[in-house]
Amino acid sequence: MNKLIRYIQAYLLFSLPFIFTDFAFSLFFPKTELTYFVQQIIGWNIVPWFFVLIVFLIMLVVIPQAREMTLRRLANIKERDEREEYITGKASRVTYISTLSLLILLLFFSMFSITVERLPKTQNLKSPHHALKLGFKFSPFEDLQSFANKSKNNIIFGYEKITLSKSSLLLILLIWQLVIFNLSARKEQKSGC
Amino acid sequence: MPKLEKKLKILNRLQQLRQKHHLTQEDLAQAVDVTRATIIALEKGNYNPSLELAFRLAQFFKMKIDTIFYLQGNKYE
Repeated sequence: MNKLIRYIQAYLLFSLPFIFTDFAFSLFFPKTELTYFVQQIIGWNIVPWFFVLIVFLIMLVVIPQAREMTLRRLANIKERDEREEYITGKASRVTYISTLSLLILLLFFSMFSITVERLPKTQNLKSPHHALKLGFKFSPFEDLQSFANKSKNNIIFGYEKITLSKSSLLLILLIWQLVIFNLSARKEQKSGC
Repeated sequence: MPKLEKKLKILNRLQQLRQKHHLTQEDLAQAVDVTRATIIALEKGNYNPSLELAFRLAQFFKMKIDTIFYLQGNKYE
């Protein structure tokens, strides 16, 4: 498995210049036969590259080894000895709690609405001039109607964005963090820590 | 029962021992399989080692743990 992950990483990384070159050709170079020909040659790689990228991103979520090998570098996690493991543990704790608080705040903002409105003037001086409106809305999917309208066309398969709403995404992330943290903590305890 | 202090300050003689054995921080780090940064942190008293690392250091210097590590206010201070 490690070898496969390494091959995929290398492929994605070393193909990146070709992908960028192809984008550069389509954006900045005038469309002549030569540039079209060069673009075609370089561009053969784009479809498999995107396919491998999608597979790899799914692998990152599903396979812990892939996560460790890839994101350890990205997250700059060093665990060469016990002190660094201790530091990583402390930093993870801070990150976990701060992310959790941020997610809760974002979830709150995505679900609740606060509006201050100026009311129309009346003769009665004692009547209120402003109104404060508090609202709550949670819909699991984002604007399903526009998505449904789009699907009326002859599109067989289309992917533009995740149709989950912001609230749902935040809720999923929150639950994900809580579940993963607790499961990994339980696993560590069982392993004799 | 007597109440212990909430936080015990653990000091060590690592720097003296290392210098006595004419070792660099890197040498000691390699000998006990840690990074040099850990040896620096230990010598400064910024980090308390695990029991395993304490044993490894004691084994390396052929000493008892409590002659290398001791509580603040004890005889080696």
